[in-house]
Amino acid sequence: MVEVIIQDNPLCPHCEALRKSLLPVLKRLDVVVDEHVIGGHSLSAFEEDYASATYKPEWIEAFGSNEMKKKLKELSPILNYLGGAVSFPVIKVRWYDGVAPREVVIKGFPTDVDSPDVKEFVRNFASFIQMVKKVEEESQ
Amino acid sequence: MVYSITYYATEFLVRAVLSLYYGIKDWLERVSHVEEKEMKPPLVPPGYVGWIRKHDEAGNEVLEWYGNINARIPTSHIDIITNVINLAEKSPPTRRYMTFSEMASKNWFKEVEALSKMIKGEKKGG
Repeated sequence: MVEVIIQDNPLCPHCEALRKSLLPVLKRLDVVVDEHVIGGHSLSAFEEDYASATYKPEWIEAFGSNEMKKKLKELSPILNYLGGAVSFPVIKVRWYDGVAPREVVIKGFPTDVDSPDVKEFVRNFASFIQMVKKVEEESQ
Repeated sequence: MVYSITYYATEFLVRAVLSLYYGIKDWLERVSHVEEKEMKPPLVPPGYVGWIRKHDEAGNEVLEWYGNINARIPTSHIDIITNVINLAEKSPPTRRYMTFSEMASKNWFKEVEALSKMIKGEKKGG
């Protein structure tokens, strides 16, 4: 089962644009969508989002590229701050390809719904979901 | 109308030369189109019947019987059966991080392919 988890906040204009442009497409593709409210005054205000962990120095030491590791000492104070902050919207796509679970995390979204970037993003995302669905069907 | 013998002879020669030229050209184009793609060897060899170690939907290691019967044993820390194809090591659970701008580019699929080739087998995502 392909799952899409969207971490967003009702007061954020970026999240509103994401919901407007992406939710109809996901409904048409018949995908399970889980909206998870984070940050601000929500109950899960102190929960971490999926993407911020990538800024943490520990994560960069373990999984980062060589370029990232070179600049780690200089940037560690900022990285510590960014790693602890909660940012939204974040989209997570989960699927199982028959051997292991796979995940893709996409962070950020612009406020302008009509921009060509958003159209390209939605097209890419829809084709990606269709591809993932095929992969899952073949694995069963 | 009656044509001379030289006319028919030259027409025959020109047709023969042109058909040969275009025939060779078409054949060369067809050969370049039908070049075989590199086929990846399957993770499990065809006709294999036995145990396979892989990950389940939750990311835990399991032993699965590959054959006519469906059987799956959760054995994340038990290692009794030794004659196993270990897919869990070959393709661990992965998580990829990307930004909106990366995914909004027109060559996104190509970039992802290149990225997965680069990362493949090196490490698993956190």
